[in-house]
Amino acid sequence: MKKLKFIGNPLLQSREKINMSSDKKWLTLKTTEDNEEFVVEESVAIMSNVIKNMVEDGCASSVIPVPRVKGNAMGKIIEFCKKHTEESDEKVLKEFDAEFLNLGPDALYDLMVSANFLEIKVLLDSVTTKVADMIKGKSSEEIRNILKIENDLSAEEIEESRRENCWTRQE
Amino acid sequence: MATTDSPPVGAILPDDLITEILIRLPVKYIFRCQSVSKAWLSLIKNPNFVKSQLRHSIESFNTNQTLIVNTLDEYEESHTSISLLSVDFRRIVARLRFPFSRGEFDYVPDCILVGSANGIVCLSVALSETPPEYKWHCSPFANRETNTYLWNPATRQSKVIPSYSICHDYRREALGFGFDPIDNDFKVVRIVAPPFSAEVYSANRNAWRKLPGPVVLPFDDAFDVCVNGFLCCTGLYGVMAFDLNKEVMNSGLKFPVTTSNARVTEFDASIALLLWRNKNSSNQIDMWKLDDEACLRGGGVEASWTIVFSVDLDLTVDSVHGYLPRGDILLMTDEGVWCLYDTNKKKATIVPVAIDMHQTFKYTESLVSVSGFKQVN
Repeated sequence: MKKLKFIGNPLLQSREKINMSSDKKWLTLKTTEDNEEFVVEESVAIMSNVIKNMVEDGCASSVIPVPRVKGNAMGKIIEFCKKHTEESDEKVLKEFDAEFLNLGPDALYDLMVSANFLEIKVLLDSVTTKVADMIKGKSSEEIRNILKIENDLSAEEIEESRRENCWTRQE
Repeated sequence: MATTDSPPVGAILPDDLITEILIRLPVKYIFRCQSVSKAWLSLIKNPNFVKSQLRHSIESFNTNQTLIVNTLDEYEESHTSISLLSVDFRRIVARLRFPFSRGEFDYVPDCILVGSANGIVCLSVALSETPPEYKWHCSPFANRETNTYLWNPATRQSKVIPSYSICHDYRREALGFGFDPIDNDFKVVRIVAPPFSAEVYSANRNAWRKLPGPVVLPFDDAFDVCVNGFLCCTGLYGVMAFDLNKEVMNSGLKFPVTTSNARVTEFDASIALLLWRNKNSSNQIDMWKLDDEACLRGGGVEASWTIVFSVDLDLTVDSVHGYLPRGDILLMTDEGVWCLYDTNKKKATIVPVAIDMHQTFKYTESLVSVSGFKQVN
């Protein structure tokens, strides 16, 4: 194993290196499921509360391992966070989100689980709102079809529910 | 691309994510989701779900500001109707059904909207038709038999609270309603005169309790707003804040400046004050924020205020109702026209409804129920 030489404090030296390259701080995120690496600006990465805490606690070395999130989901998440840090116009962001979330339930699910795990409030809010809009006003049968849920309620349970909630079907 | 061996989305959605989706639905649709699956049914019936939905409802008020109002019925002007006014769309978006069932009255009874908190609404309903002579110096429900309801318009459940404990003849009455976050309790406050007496109802105790000590009637016989468990109004000696938890009135909180036009409101999660004056046909509205709630804990600490903003308007203000979270001030001009004045854009837009200044409150949908609630309609 190579013996590494350091001049002075090794931590100080690596920090200086980062600062020298540009005014912005960069982080490398590595998805541990499929070993994909993403280089992102710190300001974008800290939209994730989990990563933000790691950076603030000083636990973030140059490469941050991210479990449970697959590479393609990570890529999409970074695209979302980048847009939301760069853009401040609410209208533009709304249009971007609508386009961005034009996905099927499986992809939305992946995004939701990842956003929840990484604690990215804005993304979680957007995806869950999108799914809520997809099922709003639909019958329970239609909701089951959209979200691929199995019906495990007995006929009596369904009938009782319908009776209790018949007022929700008025107007 | 879903492959045949990828599990169905819904089957593996964890509870906390199902919750995040469902709390974003209007309450009516949340109920329908109870018949989707066993997991969804038990999730929705869990008390924690009610808490999550309430938290989200309150947090998202800013993006979907709704007021519950008592407004003149557009078809029969002699009747009022309880409706929802959207601040963003500047119009009535829903007419609510009443907390009593259709058969209970064979006419539309007079109602007073007392307040709204956490999705629960307090409504006082007169049990007899309007008396032939209107006494201008008396409160509208003075000495009339009434039912006071606690009501959740979103779940259509309600209950009648026990009758008042103060039963002597009176001419003036002030009713207020709010939520005590310390004991998780809904309270109704009632002040009548003469002689000056006060009582408070607690939903947890399901009983009225007479309040001791000297009592002051609020100006206009109405409370302005409930903030952080304090039911606030203005009175003879300044701002008054009724501590819903300790059930004690803090009165005589001095105004920041000598004024004759003041209204208590909420700003940035604090008690705030809107003062307005007309000077040389120009109108000014100032908003002040209460620096510290220490003055509300007894011990004689003086109230201190800091000015938040001061705006000049080119319309004449008759009365100001309150400040709304994104910077709108709801006010009435001297021509009786209601407007929303946007303090950021410095523009007023008309709200084409006839609402009662003292019967207009912020409203959010919730699944909260009070013990004794029954399904009404």
